[in-house]
Amino acid sequence: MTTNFELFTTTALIASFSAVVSAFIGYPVGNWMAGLGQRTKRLVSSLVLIPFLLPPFLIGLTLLPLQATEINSITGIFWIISAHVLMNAGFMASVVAASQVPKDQIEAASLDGASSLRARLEIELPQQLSGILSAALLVALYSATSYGLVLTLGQGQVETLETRIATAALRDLDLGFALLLAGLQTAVTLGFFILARAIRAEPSELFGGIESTHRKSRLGQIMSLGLLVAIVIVIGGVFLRSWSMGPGLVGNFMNLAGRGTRDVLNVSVLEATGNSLRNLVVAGLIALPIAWLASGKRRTSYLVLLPIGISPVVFGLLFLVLSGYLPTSFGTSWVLVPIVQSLFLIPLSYQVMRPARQAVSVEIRDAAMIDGAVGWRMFSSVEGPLVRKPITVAAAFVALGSLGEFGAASFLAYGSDATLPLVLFRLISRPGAENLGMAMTAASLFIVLVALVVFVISGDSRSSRRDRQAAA
Amino acid sequence: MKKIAVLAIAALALAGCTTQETTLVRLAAHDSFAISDELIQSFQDETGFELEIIRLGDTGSLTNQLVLTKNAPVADAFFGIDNTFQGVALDNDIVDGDFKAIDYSDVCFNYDIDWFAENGITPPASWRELGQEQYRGLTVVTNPNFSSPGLAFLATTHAGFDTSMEVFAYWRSIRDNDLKVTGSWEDAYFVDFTRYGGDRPIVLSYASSPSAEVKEDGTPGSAALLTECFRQTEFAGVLKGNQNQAGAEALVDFLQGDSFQASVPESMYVYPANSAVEVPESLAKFAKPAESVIGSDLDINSNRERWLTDWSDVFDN
Repeated sequence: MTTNFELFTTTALIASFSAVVSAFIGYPVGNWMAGLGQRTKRLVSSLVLIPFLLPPFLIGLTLLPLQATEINSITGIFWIISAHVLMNAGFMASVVAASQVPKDQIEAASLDGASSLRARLEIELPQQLSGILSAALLVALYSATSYGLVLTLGQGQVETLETRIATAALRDLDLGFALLLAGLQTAVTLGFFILARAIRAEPSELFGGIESTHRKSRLGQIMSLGLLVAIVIVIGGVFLRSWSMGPGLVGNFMNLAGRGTRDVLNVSVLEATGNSLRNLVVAGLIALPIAWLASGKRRTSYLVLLPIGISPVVFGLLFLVLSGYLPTSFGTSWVLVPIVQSLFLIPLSYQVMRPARQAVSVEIRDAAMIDGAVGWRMFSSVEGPLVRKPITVAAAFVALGSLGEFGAASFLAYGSDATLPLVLFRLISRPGAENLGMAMTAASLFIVLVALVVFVISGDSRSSRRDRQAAA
Repeated sequence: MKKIAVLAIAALALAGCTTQETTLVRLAAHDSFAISDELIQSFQDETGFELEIIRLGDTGSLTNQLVLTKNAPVADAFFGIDNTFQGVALDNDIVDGDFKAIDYSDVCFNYDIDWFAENGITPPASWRELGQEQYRGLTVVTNPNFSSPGLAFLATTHAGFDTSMEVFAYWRSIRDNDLKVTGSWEDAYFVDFTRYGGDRPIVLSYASSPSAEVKEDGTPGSAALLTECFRQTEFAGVLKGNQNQAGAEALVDFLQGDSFQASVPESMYVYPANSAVEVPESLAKFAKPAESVIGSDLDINSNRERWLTDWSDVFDN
């Protein structure tokens, strides 16, 4: 049995390696992306961000068919790190692309005789470093909380703190041990999170950057091509399999209303999707208003942001323990799942809304208040239209986050309340080409949804900033 | 503002109240529980209660979920806690009254008759022989950490030897004989067993499985090693803290009744606990219960964790 120390090192190792490799790939790719034309940049940045916005569990699902059937703990860790890199390299690249140094600094340096490489190392990199480090620490955080992915790609051979928490609580009924591990896990994730914020307080915008730099980067070009090709192959593989596996695309679609070969599921994929959508709505109704109210305050609220540094598995465990002490119908109700989800969806939407809300100039708000706009009126007529875009982005992130959430749901969603990710996991963990075909089809739908969302929100980010600046 | 608050609290309080008379009875079961729509209908007609089935994973997962939620039970009655997990349920005091035996099945190795005939090898007579050279690379078992038959077989080995040294030696011998370990019975049976296209002609399964392998001409496709098997008895019972005492009791009675008992062989490939009930011919002829069973006096509850740890050490990766 793996010791606590081994669990800790496995978790930390996976997190750190994922962050480092993502940064190494993301840096040249981001610099290259910054030099692209507007339309191409939008296309490329959307494509590389799709894996970032897919739930970790789904990434595991897309890579699963590529794995050989027999893996051990070493190859398992390799696959997990690769999956994390695929997910997060795009995020790193976007951060790098958005933190480009103004053109004139580079031009001034080259006038003084500095070579391109020297300019990069001595002028650009130091200024970009805080953004990169902070983002890398966030990647480490995400890689330490990807329970669903580890479960899927590790195939039981890789044990991290999160998987051990789940087995301790759900299989061994050793809640004391589970809580101890949860404490350790929280120490790791909070550590990453606090460090990330200490280095750079405000998160970078994912979309839109300052003026393009029009500089060639050969390395960036090659790596970007590699990354894009990898993403296309992986996602394309999912679509291909949903078409070729089992009874074919139409058959797979029809099967989504059923319960899998040999009735392996308790509820059909369709019903599970219904459950997930219901959870999504409730989670959104809780998370978005709270995030909105919190983002209007002058000072950054650390309390609101704190849940990011805590793993969903830990939340699920805590609520599972708590549910025994709640009134009966509430404790067993499905509503616990969206409530728990909203805990970490609030900070997510807060981070998106806050920069935008703060950017709405104080003068506008004061002027509007003098004119009598308060509360709802202020929101609907004054601030709302100006921050319409970030609200949409926040809502999209909340929706995607809730839909793909795996860790907490695996503790709290029972029987007929099963959510979509739980059902998909069951489908892939039982043999049968039909089951896999169903899972791939459902995954394809999810990917299409995410791609649509990403593409829509990556557009007109410049126009919304123009609006805010004009209104100031 | 205050009025709204008062109304809201009142509404929540009402919602939290459980109604005295409820017609819904909830059954917590494992994923392999099968009951026909006709039987559900006849239960509802006979008793007037409406049945909701909540599946909570496999036997271990079912038991654990019931324990974890015992202060706010998700069901009124349960089916499927077996003798290997009964201790957990007893320790945590989740059952109201007795455990009622509903069915049993024997965990035994099965082998592919045709494969052994074609390859000219004598099939094994007992699980004790699986470490022998002629059976190298032929066996697949399930991981006892995840699988109930796997755990049953682990218990069998502990019951079958006097000392732990001997148990370790046995497991090491079959490990070194290219034993394959999979995560679930479904994987082992429907993927690795030679009768379904796999490469392992010896699979850990149940004494009843051969009745599903009878060929069209009426000859058996597989056979079970019927000595020293492990008997899994599945129980049903009423859960403490339920919301429908009468309904739960009626349901447990129904599961013990003749009509349900007669259905279990065909729907779940198990034998009815009620020995007076007639068993279908295919089961009676090709899937007889084990000739001998061991392990019924083991204290699985206290030993489970240590056995699993020891087992994982043998198969460390």
